[in-house]
Amino acid sequence: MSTYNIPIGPIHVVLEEPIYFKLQVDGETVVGLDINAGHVHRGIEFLTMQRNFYQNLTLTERVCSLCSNNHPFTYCMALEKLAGIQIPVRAEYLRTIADEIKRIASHLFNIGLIPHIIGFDSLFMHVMEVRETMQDLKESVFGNRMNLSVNTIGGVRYDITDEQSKYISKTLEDLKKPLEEITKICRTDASIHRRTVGVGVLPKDKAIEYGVVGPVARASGIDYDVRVVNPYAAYDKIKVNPVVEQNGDVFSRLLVRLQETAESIRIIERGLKDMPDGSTDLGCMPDIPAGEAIAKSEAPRGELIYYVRTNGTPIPERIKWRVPTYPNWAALNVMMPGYKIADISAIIGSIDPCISCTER
Amino acid sequence: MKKEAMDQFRSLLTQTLGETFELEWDTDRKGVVCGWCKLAAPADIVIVAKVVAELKGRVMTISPLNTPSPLVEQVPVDSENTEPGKSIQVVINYHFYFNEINLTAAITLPDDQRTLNSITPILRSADWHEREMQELFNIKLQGHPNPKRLFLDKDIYMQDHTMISLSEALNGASTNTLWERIMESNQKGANSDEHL
Repeated sequence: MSTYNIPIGPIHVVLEEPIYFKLQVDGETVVGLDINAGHVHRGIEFLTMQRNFYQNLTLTERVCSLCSNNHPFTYCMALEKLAGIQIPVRAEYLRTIADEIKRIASHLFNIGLIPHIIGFDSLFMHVMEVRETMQDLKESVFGNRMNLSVNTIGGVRYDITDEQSKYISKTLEDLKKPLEEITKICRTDASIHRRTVGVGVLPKDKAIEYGVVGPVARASGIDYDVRVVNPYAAYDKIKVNPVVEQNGDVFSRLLVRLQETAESIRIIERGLKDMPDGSTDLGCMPDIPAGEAIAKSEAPRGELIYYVRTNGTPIPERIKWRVPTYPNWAALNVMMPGYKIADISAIIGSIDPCISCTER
Repeated sequence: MKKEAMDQFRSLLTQTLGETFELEWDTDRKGVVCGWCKLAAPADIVIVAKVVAELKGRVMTISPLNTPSPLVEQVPVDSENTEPGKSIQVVINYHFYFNEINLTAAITLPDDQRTLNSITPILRSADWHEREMQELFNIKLQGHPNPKRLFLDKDIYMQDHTMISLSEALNGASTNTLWERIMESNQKGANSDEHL
């Protein structure tokens, strides 16, 4: 059978955002892959070097939508490390709670997306309906459904009252049962199994070689979660149980996200219980001295790293970040060859790609 | 475990590089270790990559930067007008991760040098980061297994210290550029009496 090339993208129905795949196929089977990015490159890193530290809080939040909270969060941590600022303990808990709320909403989106890709739309709608409760929660507590703008240098810009705490606890309690149902359907449904089990396998040795992060790495048996290994915010006080699966296929990545959602609910409940009283920020806008620092956090898609270099002026000399999707793209070179053309969209969906993050 | 890894890294690096590098560790309140390593020569980054590979580590990211920053310091960006001693150097920070430790190794490229040995053959996780650096900072990589353009179109020319405008990155989507092209081709057509 002859080999020929199929272009997928930059604009294509299976893609949520523009990226260009050149696939070499032999009959129905993928044999090679070339990825071309850059279609939504906005030069945000360059823009951060033209704005001051506080303006950049707003800008970094707009790099991405689903993990929008992690960008200013990690950016603030890098500046705080650079300036030697210790934030109030209550602020650490509030940051953790906001982040886990975003993680649940982000994971549920992908948990819904996989059934949608394989044509199980009733489950997709069920998951999205469940996710809507988290969107409502965000709107009620933070005033926004996507960009929470909770982080500031030296603390947070919101607080949780007792009433809000009760409301969050109740919403999470109501989420548990539907989540269990969805997990049960995903674990047992034959049509999901047929399209995801043994598809897009990334073996552990290849996962290490390509340096993948987040649920993609954990589904391939790599026990790496920034919250556990390099703790930050309140994660040194609240123990996180990392979810690790061994098979490295689309199904394993789905299971990792399902279990992590349950773990996030537990973390928020624990955080609400343990959170001490006190101030939520420094009460001033600190000056940032010259220096350089890095900070990392576990975004919904994996490890996010920020590098900041300053020179004593209010404008940073360089801000560079690497989003979790970035190292995961190259691993598609391992996941795709050997599988059918019909599996491609499920494999792409399973790394939960964020293209506007990748290209900045 | 972290202490052991820190000592191991230092001793492995000293074996090949001697005492030419500076290395400092800082540990924050939560116990996260960050190492900062300044290398004497750009070629030394290959040795660091080999040590990281031996420790089963990976590249987290690579952060190149122009220094002094042309934007912050108001240094003329046009290389012809640059005064001596005020030229822009490229500092490249490589961020590695191994054994729960974050390590940043920094190299500085001399003024006129824009070529660098690729570390992708040693650490595959450097692949996309190196290709991005190649496009956005005009750094030529030697020995990269797949040096194709990643973000920018292959027809876009490269220049040191210049930023490519969005309209150009989108390859002629700007109305001005498009109009100038049309005018130019019309002019050519009129001069040579050819009809398009």
